[in-house]
Amino acid sequence: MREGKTIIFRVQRYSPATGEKPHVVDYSVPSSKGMTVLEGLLYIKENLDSSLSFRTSCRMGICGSCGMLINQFPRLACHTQIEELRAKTLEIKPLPNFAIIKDLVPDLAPLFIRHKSIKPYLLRPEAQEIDVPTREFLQSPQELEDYLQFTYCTKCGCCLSACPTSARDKLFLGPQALAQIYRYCADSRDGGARERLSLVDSSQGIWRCHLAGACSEVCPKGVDPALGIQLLKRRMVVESLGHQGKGPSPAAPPPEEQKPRLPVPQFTVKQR
Amino acid sequence: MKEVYFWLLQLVTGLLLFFLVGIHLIWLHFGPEGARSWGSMIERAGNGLWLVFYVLLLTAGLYHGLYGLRNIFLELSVSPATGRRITIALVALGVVALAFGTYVPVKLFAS
Repeated sequence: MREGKTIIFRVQRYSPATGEKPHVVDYSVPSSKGMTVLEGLLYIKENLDSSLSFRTSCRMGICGSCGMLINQFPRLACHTQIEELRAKTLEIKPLPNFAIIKDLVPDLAPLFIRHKSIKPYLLRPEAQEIDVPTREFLQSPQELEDYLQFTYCTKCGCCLSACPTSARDKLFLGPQALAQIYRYCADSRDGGARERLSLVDSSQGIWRCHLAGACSEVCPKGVDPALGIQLLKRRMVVESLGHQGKGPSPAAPPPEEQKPRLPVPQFTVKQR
Repeated sequence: MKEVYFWLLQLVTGLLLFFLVGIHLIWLHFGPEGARSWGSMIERAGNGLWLVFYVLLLTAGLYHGLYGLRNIFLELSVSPATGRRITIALVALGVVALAFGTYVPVKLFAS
């Protein structure tokens, strides 16, 4: 690993439990090529200040734990290389629009409560298929494409921290939950669209979105929640005008009812 | 009434305003000489087509503006009960403003 320059990590420290007021502490971190902000924070924790708190788990942009405000932009610390920021000083703060548990650890409970409220699982007309699925449901690759990008959401909270409406309106569902509603409503196997759409057709629901697009701008996984919200609005308008979409896709036939596979042809190798 | 219809109406009135305000501005700035004078306005009010045009413009403008105002109030994290009171108050304000705004040109048309 090639040694690089020293970077100043200007970290916001805050501990509501001890009554400590928010303040900023500078740490000098030796950076190297390819080093991520998370690695810098781990360096601080191991070598400079073990009391620094932040959340991390997978270190590869999958778990969504290390969302934080890095140089005024919500990012995943594990997904952000120090070099790409082109700055000698990194300002690191917890994600806005969330309560702070300690230092860089936001309280993501409101995000998970909202996510849970939209029933983020396949709803089927056959009740037993929701709890104990027994069959597979047919879906073409094109139908999968309709919602695939929205499945990449890691619930890191970056979109909520960037949303201007969420900053003002604490009752607003937020881009994460709304995009996930679209994800399930667009899934051809799902039959719970009416239930979910009635949930967001309220004064604090989907209509509070102003299409600022900040959620899509900051999503570290490349998801476009603003697009999902717009598509959901369109679907709601179309359904309100009396056009009902097709129902959930049928179940795939059980294996014993499937046609027998064709025998594998016997290829022969030409002998010389 | 579902919120989706309120939002849809806001879209429709927005589109209407684009054309109605456009016609209004073009007429005032590029129309016949003296189109902005009081006399010209009285003259237009005597025409049924202009009367319908202005009542439609007023209705669309009021709905679009008051819906936007309601959105701003609702974003203050108000409770559902307070939200309903705000909606009722704004609807009442809109109805009164529409009645007053319609009364003047209709009276001019009738006279």
